[in-house]
Amino acid sequence: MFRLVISDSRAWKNLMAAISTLVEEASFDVKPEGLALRAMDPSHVAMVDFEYPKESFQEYECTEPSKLCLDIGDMLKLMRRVEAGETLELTLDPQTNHLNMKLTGKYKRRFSLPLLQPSVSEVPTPKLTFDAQIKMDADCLNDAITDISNVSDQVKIEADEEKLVLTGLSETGNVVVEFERANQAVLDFQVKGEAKALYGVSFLQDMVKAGAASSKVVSVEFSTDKPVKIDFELPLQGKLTYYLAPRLE
Amino acid sequence: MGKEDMNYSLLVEMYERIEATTKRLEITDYLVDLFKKTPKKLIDKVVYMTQGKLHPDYMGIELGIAEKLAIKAISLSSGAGEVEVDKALKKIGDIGEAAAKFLGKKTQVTLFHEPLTVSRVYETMDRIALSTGEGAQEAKIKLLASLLSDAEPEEAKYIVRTVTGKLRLGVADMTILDALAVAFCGSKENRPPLERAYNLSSDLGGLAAAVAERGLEGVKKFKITVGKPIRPMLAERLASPQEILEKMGGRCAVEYKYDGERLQIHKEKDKATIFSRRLENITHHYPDACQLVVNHVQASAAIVECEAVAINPDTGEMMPFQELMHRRRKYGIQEAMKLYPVSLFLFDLLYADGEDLTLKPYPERRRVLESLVEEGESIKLAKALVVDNAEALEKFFEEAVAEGCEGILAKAVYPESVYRAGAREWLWIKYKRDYQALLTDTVDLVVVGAFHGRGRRAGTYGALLLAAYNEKEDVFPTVCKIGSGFTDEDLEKLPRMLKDYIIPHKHARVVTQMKADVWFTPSLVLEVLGAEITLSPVHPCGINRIRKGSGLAIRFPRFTGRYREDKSPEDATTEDEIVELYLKRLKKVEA
Repeated sequence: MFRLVISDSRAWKNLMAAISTLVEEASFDVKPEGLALRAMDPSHVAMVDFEYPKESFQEYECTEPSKLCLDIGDMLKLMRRVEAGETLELTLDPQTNHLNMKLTGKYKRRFSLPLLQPSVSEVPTPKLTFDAQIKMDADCLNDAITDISNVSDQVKIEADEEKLVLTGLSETGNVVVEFERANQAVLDFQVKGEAKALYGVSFLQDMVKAGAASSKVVSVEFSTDKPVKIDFELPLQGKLTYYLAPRLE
Repeated sequence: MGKEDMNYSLLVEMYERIEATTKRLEITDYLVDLFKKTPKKLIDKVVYMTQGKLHPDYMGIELGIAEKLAIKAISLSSGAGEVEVDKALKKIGDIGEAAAKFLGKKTQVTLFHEPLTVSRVYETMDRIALSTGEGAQEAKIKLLASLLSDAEPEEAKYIVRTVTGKLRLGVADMTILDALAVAFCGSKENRPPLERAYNLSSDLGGLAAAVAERGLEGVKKFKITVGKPIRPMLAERLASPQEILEKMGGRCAVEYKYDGERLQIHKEKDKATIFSRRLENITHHYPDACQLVVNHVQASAAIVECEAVAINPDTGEMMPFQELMHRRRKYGIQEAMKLYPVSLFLFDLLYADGEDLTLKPYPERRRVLESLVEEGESIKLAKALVVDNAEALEKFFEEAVAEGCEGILAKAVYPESVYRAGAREWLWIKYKRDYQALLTDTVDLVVVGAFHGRGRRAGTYGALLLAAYNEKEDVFPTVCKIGSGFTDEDLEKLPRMLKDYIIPHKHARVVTQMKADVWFTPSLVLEVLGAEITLSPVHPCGINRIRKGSGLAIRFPRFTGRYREDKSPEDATTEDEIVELYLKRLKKVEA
C-alpha cells in the first residue's frame, strides 16, 4: 500500500525537474518514513541525493518498503500544465503496474504512468571533507553561474577567508563574480585557509537553476580539486543535494 | 565482474592486433584466440562487435551516431571544450584517435570509477542505438559519456569508432566463419555447413552462439525462417550473348533486369517484411509492395525476390532507378507512395508454405512462382524467355533496354541450377549495356501521336509519341514516348493545341511500330532533354545504321517547357543528327 498527497503540486514538479537534470529514469526508495532517491548521471560526474520525509507530505501512507522506478521525463510531460495550488495525489496500481496521479484544483485530472523495471546498482555516498562551506542566497548563485555560462564551459570557484569568487574565462570574454563574506547574499561563511576548484558549467547551471526553483537557500561546500556538494534546504526536513566532480587544470 | 563477463580491454587488444596485420590468416588466428577466451554467453555480442555492429543487419538497429554528438560526449567526459575537440578532430581526421587523445589527458574527474566490461559496453551501446524521440540526442550523449568516463584512452578510441559507425577492421564474414569453425567445430574444413547456416539466417552472432554451445550440431537448427533474410544470390557478368550461352551449356533462361531496387519479401499470412539487397529491413519504405505481395502471392508463408520499379503515376511508364530514392525516407511515406508508386517484378521464390525451394533448380522455382502469383497491374512476373541462340538473346536484350531495363539476367536451367544464397557464381550472368551515349544537349522533336492519360492525367494526354525528321525520305521516324516534364498547365492546353491536327490513323509520313491512341499530322515541335540514346527494337529512327534491325531511342525523355512554335516539323532534329549524337556520345560503361 502506497499513497501520498502533496498540497502544492508545482513544488513537486520543480523537484522532479531537479532530478531530471541528471537522470532519465528515477528509482525512488519508498519507505514508511518517507521517499528518497539517490542517482548518478551516466558519466559518473554528478549525482543527486533527494530525501522527502513523510512529514513533508500532506498525507503519506506506506506499509512496506519498495522501489518505484519512473521515466521522469514522461512524468514531467504529464505535469507540464500543473498550476499553483493544485493538490497532487499519487497511488500505485499493482494490477496494471502503473503510478496513478490525481490533480485536484478547479477540476480533477487523472494521469497514469507505467512503472519501469528498477535497476539494481546502488549508489554509494561520496566520503568528502570540505575546507569551504558557504551558505547563500540561491538566486544570487544562479545569476552568477548563468553569467559565467555565457562565456565559458567551466567555472572556477575559489574561496579564502574573505570572499567567494566565481570566474569564467574564455576567448570570447571573462566574467568574475565576487561575494564578500559580509555581503547580504551570504548567510554563513566558513573557510579554512583557501580552496580552489574547477567545474563543468553545464551541470552546475542545471543543478543550481533547478534547486533555486525549490529553495531560497543553498550551501556550497568544496575543497581544492575535490567534488563540490550543493545543498538546497527544502521545507520540513526535505533535502536536495548534488555532488559534482571537478575538472583538473 | 562476474564469471560470465569479460573485460572490454581484451576485445580492444584484438582490435589492435587485427589493425596491425595485413594477413588474413593471422586475423583468423586472433579471432580463434578471442572466441576461445570469450564466455559462451557473450560470444554473439563479441562477434557483432568485431564487425562494428550490435545485431544482425536485418534488425535494422543502426548505431551510427553523428560525429557532433560524439564530440559532445568526448567533451563531457574529458572536460575538454567542444571547440577544442572539434579542432583536433579536423587535424587528426579520426574521431577515435581524437577521443583517445582527450581521454588520455582528461581533466574531468568522476565521482566513482569502474573498469569496462564487454556486457556493459554492449548494453550501453544498445541503449544508445535504441534511444529515439524527444531528448534522444541528449540521452545518447550521456550514455556515450558514461562509457568514456570509465574508458582507458585505447578503449575510448574503439568505443567512439564503433558508435559512429567507423570501426572498419575489415573482418570479412568468411573470416569469422573460418574462426568459428576452428574454435568450435574442430577445423576450417567444417566451414561449409556453417556457411550455409549463415547464408540462410544472415545472423553471424546467432550462429556463433549456437556453435559455441553445441559445436557442429548447433548449425542443424538453422533453416529458412520467414522474417529472417536469406543472403541473396548474385550474378557474374559477361559482355556477349555468345559467351553467356557457352557458359550456360547452349541454353538458358533470360529475364529482364529491371532498373529498380531488388527486394526480398517475406510473407506470413497478412503481413510482409521487406529486406534490401544489403539485408536492411526496409519494410516501412514500401507499404504498397507489402500489400501487393500479401494479396497476390497465394501461399500463407512465402519468400519471394523481386525488383521494385518506380512508375510514373500519370503515364504508367517505368521511371529511372534514382526516382526510387524518394521512397527511402522516414516520414511522408504516404505522399511518396502517391508520387512514386512502385510495380513489382517477381523473379524468384525461395520458400513457400514450409518448403525450402533454394535447393530446387531454377525452372522448378519459376514454375512454382508462376503458379502462386496472381498477376495484377502492379505485380507481375519478371519477363522471361528460354533461348538457345545468340540472336534471340540479343533481341530480348534490346527489348529489355527499350522498355527501360538495365539489361538482362541469364539464368542456368540445368538440374544443378539451385539458389546459391550469398554466392556470386556462373549460374546467373548479367548482360548489361557495354556502351551508353549520354545525352547532354536538347533535341527538337515532332509530336506524331499521343496516349490517353491515367490517374491524375485522366481526360488529357498521358504521354506523347515523338519523331525526328528524315530529310532524304521526307518521313518522321519515331524516337521516344514522352510523359515527363509537363506541368499541369501544359497538360491542360496540349489537347487544345493538338486538336486541329488529329487524324483517324497514323500519318503516312510517320514511321513507327508503336500503337498510339491518337494520331496527329506532324506539326507541333517540342524541345526535349533525354538521359541518353540507346539502341531500340521499336523506334525506327536510325534503323540499321548502328546495328541491323535496330533503331535508336531517347531514354528518359523530358519536356523542357519550350514549345518550338518557331520551328516547322521539317526543322526538327534530323535522323542523321540523332545517329551523330549517338556516335559522338558513346562511351564505355564502367563495369
